[in-house]
Amino acid sequence: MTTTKTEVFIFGECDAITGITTIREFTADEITQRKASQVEAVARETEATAKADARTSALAKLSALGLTQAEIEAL
Amino acid sequence: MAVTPNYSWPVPVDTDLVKDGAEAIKDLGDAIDSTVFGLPSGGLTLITTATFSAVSNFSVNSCFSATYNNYLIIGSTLTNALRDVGFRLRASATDSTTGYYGKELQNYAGAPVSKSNASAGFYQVANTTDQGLVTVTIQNPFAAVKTSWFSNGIAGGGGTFFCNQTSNTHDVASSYDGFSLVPTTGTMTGTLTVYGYRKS
Repeated sequence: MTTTKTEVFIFGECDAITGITTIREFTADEITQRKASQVEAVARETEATAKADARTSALAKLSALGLTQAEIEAL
Repeated sequence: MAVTPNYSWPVPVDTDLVKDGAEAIKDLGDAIDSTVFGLPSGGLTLITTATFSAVSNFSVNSCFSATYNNYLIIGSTLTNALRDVGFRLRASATDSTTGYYGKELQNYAGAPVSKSNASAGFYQVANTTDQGLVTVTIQNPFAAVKTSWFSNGIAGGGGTFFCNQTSNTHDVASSYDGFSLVPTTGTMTGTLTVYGYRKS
């Protein structure tokens, strides 16, 4: 038998006038928004990783051309 | 009649007559009132402090108003797994989820990261095991104009030291009275303190 664990999202909210903090579960809309944010975050990480990989590749090619580390850093 | 050494407020001397005491007190009170009224009133005013534990989202409502244009938000002891904590403006307890533009420089992901018309701006930094510190300087959240903010954060230490600097604009000319921290995964624990910069 397989059981599925459902993630529960907790929403904390403070009112600056009263100083009261309330805790509740996410609404359906908030869960949808959070999942959309996760997609955004994955896209950003992918972009950052791609840029980092491209930089590493470019540095290796410059080094293969005979540039010293100091020369590469001066670019 | 003598005067005090710092503000030159008038005070009686030992040989002054007791019958002149009421007048002396009045003169001293007037002088103090005049000095205090003219003192600079700038600086930071504490608006609110909130502590939260193991929440998936944390919002602060009604912290921005017409009283201040500029605010300082300090996030302490923030812990979160992914370090990717977003920042949203909100009005009447509802987040604005579009129109965020930002650039983040950081030491943990190599290249700068951008956001363009995203659902949240940058806040960050958090860490799973070590406490983090983030400061946010935000301008004009309550005025119905574009809102901009910087955030700077550190977390961790030694071989797992994280730091970042972000610049953000919310390209929506609306008024907001609060904000939310919105991690994309996991939960957060920490403390937020909001100050307003006095206008004068």
